[in-house]
Amino acid sequence: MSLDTVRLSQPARDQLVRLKRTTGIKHWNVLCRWALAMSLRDPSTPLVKDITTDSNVEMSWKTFAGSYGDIYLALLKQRCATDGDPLTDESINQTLTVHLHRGIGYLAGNKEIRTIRELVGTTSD
Amino acid sequence: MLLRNITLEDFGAYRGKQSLDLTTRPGKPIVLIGGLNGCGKTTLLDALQLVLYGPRARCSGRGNRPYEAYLRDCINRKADPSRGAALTLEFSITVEGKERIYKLTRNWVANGKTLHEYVNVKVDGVWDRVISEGWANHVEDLLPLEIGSLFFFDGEKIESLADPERASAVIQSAVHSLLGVNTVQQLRTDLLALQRRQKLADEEQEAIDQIRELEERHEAVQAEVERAQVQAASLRSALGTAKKNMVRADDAFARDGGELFERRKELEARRKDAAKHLTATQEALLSIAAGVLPLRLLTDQLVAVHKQAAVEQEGNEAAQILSVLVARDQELLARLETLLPKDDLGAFREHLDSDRQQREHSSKAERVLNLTPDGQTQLAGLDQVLTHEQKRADELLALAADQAATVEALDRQLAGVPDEKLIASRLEDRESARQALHRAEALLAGAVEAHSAAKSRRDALKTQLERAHDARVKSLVRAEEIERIVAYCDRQREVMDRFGDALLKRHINRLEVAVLESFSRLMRKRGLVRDLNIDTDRFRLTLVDSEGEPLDPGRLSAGERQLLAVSLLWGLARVAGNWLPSVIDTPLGRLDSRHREHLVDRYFPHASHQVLLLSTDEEIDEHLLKRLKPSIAHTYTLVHDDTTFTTSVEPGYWWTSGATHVA
Repeated sequence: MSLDTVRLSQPARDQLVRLKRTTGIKHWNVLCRWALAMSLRDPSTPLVKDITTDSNVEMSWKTFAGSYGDIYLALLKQRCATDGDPLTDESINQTLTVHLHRGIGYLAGNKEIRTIRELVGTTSD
Repeated sequence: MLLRNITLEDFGAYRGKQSLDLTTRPGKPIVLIGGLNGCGKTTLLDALQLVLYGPRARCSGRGNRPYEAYLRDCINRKADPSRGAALTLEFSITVEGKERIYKLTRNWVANGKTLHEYVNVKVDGVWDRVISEGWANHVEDLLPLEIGSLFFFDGEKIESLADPERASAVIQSAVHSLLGVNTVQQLRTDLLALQRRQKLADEEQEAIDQIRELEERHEAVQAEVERAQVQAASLRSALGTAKKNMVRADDAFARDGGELFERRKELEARRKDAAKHLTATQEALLSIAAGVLPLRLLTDQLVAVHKQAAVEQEGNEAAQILSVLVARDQELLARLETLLPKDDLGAFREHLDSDRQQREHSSKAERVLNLTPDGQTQLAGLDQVLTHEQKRADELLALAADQAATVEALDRQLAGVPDEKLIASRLEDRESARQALHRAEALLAGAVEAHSAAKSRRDALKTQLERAHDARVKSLVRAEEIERIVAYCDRQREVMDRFGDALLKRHINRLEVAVLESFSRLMRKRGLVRDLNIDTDRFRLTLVDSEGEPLDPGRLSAGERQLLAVSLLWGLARVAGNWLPSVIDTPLGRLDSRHREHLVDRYFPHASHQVLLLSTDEEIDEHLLKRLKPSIAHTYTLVHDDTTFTTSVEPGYWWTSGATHVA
């Protein structure tokens, strides 16, 4: 297993900065977890595959996943398998990056998710 | 007045205690004291005056010396100065109708440079403190100094009395003091003083002034009261206006949402509170969002993971037991070969083979997740954790929604509150109106207080004024009384004036007669002076000769002038009533034998009820002594011891030596 660091693109970073402000969430990793979950639950395959992680935001996998790292890894692997991608580290890493950025896009683009209450409220549906 | 006794103790030349009995009887008025020149005759006269008048005595031996120096010198040279000298005079006098015996002692001692003088008076044998201390004043009541000097005199020195100027002074003082004219004058002066003491005119003026002043003040205060009243009224209306303004400002304030504005703070506080609660809830949501909750979004995916995980676990288990099962199946078949029929055994084998094949198949299933044991455990408990978290999240969301609603409601209410800027002017208006109201109230209170103070001052002045009026009425009554007193005083004074004049005229007339008679009795030249006048204005003595022409006393001889002086004194004494003793020193000096006889025969026995003659052996000689003898009560001789320079008093006269009393 070599999901060492999670990096973000500059636009994703900018979107996260705004989200941090609107939701009141102070840590990158928390928002990123929500973004990943948002993307993973969409069964469609992400269209954008080519992501340049050129921002200065980066975190270790441990920091990103927290105490439920095994679950997140399992979910990523499962996704790879479902999408027919190889279960190599590179592939999993790619899946993570792609889904993370798509999720960030979802969060940033969704006008109904502005506050922490609305964010948490998404789990009640 | 009668001198009873004189005692000299270490006084002048008199050494020790020397006492002379001076008592006389009717018909025998003369006490004859003889002494050669320098024996102390004049000292005796001085002693008499000194004991009575102290510092004021006109002693011949004093000259211009200070009194203390004189007293010091009067202590006998042989005597101890610290014991000093003493003079004691006993005399009787009728005071207020009663005869009293005075024993007057004047003694003094010298201690170094200081000299103490003591005066003690015993009245009827009892020491009188008041009289002793106030003797100098008391003696003026008994025997005024002016009078005393007219009766205690040096015969040789009285010649100057014949001088018209000197005589007029003597006559004036004698007439005034001795004959009681000054009493009348004193009465007049006292009446004037009494009159002047009636200062009512001033008092009256004062009262009127006071009333006027009070009236002025009253008027001023009255004006003040009215002013205060007007001011209070105007202030009261101002207060009404201020109240109206206040009501108007209040109304305007309420109309423009003033009350809501006042609630704003409360609403804001409540909103702040609610917002705080909401923030707390949101914090809780944030912390829950940081947890496992995002995984709730992946319920379907997690189901797939669960399935896959179960498959993979099954495969793993199958792979683990497959080799064991091969060996075991073979051993089981080998055992059952002998026990089971061939068909059954074949079926059994088949079953075992298919079971193994199935297991082999499942063990060959694809491994996707490769979960660690920890991951497996976590995955197993995940559903429960997620359910719990979801429940908690829902609760928090409900709470947040509620709190947000509260905040929103408060915000709506706050939105209804008018803008501070809009209400500020109203608020300001109301505040200024309130201040104006307070000011007006304070001013009114001050004015009311001033009004009542002025009123009470006015009332006080009113009572004062009334009192002043009362006092004035009283003083008017008194004024009448005083006017009467003054009028009577004036009339009395006029009467006194007339009475004094009449008295004086009468006295002068009597004096003229008495002096002329005395002079004609004593003078040898009977025709020299026919008449004698004393004018009442200046008390000038004028003699008229036989031709009816005025006679200048300067043309008289020295002896004649002495006789004139004696006549004057004698006349005065007779007019005054002969009540004082006469002490005559050197009575006959300068006179010829005819005049001496005249004096001895006609004057001395009749001069007074008590006549002390201080004479030398040349004046009253053996011949004259014989003529005088029937009138003599006592005789003394002053004997001077030339070796000790001291004088002692011996009874008798030169030609009667040895006999104390000569009958």
